[in-house]
Amino acid sequence: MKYFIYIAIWLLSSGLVYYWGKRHTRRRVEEIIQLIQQMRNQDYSIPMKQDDFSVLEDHIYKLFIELVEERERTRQSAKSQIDYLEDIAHQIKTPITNMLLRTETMQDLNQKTQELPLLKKQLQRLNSLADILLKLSSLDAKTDDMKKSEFELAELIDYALEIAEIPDRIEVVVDYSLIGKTIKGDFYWLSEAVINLLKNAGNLAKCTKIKIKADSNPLYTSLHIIDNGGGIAKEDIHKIFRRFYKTPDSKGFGIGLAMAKSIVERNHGTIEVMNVENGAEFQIKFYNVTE
Amino acid sequence: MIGKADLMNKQIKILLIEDDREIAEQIQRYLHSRDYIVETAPTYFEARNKLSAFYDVALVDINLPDGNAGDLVLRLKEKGIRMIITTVKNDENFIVKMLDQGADDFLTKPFALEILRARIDAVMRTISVMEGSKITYNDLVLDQAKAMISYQNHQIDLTSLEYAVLSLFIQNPNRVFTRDQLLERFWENRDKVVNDNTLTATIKRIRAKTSADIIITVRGIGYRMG
Repeated sequence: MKYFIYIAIWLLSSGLVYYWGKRHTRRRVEEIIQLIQQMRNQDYSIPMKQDDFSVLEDHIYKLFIELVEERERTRQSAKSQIDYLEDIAHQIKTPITNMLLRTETMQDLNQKTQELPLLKKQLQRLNSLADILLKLSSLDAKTDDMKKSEFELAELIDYALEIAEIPDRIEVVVDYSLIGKTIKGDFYWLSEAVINLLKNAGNLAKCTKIKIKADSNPLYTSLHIIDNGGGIAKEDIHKIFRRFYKTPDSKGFGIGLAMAKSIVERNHGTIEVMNVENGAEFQIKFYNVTE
Repeated sequence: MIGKADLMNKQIKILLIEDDREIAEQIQRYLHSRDYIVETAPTYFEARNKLSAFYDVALVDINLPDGNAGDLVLRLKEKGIRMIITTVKNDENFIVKMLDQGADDFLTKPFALEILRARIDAVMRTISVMEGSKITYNDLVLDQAKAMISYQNHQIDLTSLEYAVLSLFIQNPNRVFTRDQLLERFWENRDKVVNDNTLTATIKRIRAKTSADIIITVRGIGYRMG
């Protein structure tokens, strides 16, 4: 008899435990469904309960946040794509407008000899824009994979100076600190980046001197290009690496510095700019990557 | 070997592979007026069908929609037809690949017709005049027996590396050499690269000892003889 009561109590209590357990499970499942619902409605408050289900809740929460971030990124890139296309169309329109006006003048006044060279100049400008855009797209598409060869910084500067054609009024000083310093990366792409920095300095009306020096420590090797062209206005300094951003007196397309930045970053480097006495200093750091 | 006199009597025969009809027409008209014979092919397929005849130079657009320019480049190379490839893209990697496969030179569109003509003539120029072991190119004379190069009749003082580089260019005056080709050939087995002996510095010194336009920099690709 006694045993019967024990068994009954045991049965009853385990039944109760089972019932409560079931009820808890059902409630927690409902809470999780509610959490999903709530996140769908863009309420991202973190659930505070601590039990076996919170691990699941945690995972759901993380997945959701990832999806939301991903969606935001897609939206942003679609928007920047549109901005980018608009910028390009704008850049193309300017020389086209110019040329249309000139052809009209040619017809109207029969001034072929005067207008033809100017027409040609605009076409060349349009062509160099196309070249730059093709370069940018091969940088973005990453189809053009960066080579990784070791070379001397001095060689990079020698090559870039040959191509950049800095005007004679500017004195170029290549510091002895470059001697013996090597970096690893894609020679031609990096020379493109350095050419852009040199041309940028060379185009400054006030610039009379460009100094190039190098530095190194166990972490990185750095290249410094310092001009005395008056420096960069405070409101512009954080914008100068943006695509299509250019100061009003610039004759370029506003792509050179942005391209330099992409190239350097794709070669495990960083690029920074700061104002120094009378001018600006561009600093490229090439990090020693261990493979 | 073809001497200069033979060249003057003979009209240069060109195969122009280009799909844009207007561009093809303008090139053809210009070259015609300068006494070249020009045949055109708008596709690689048609170009291949024309290869039973001989051409001196082929101008190959490497961006045609019908198939792979590489195959045609190899076929032309087999037949000993010199090649100038043309492209709208500034795709240095692909250009370098075509040069490695045997193309002699390249032009990116748009190009000036005068430049096209100059390049055709350069590619056609028979490689120097040989007298014994001497090779002459413009003002340069390479004396392989004595391992000497003279410029405008004066012997120039070259390091062994400078001599090796310049003699390669004199022996191949119509070719564009890519940076990697040069590095592989002359720098591969050197120990630590000394600052003064980098490729850029070596070319610079060769220019200083001869003239600035003796070797021309082809931006993003390599170097060619001036």
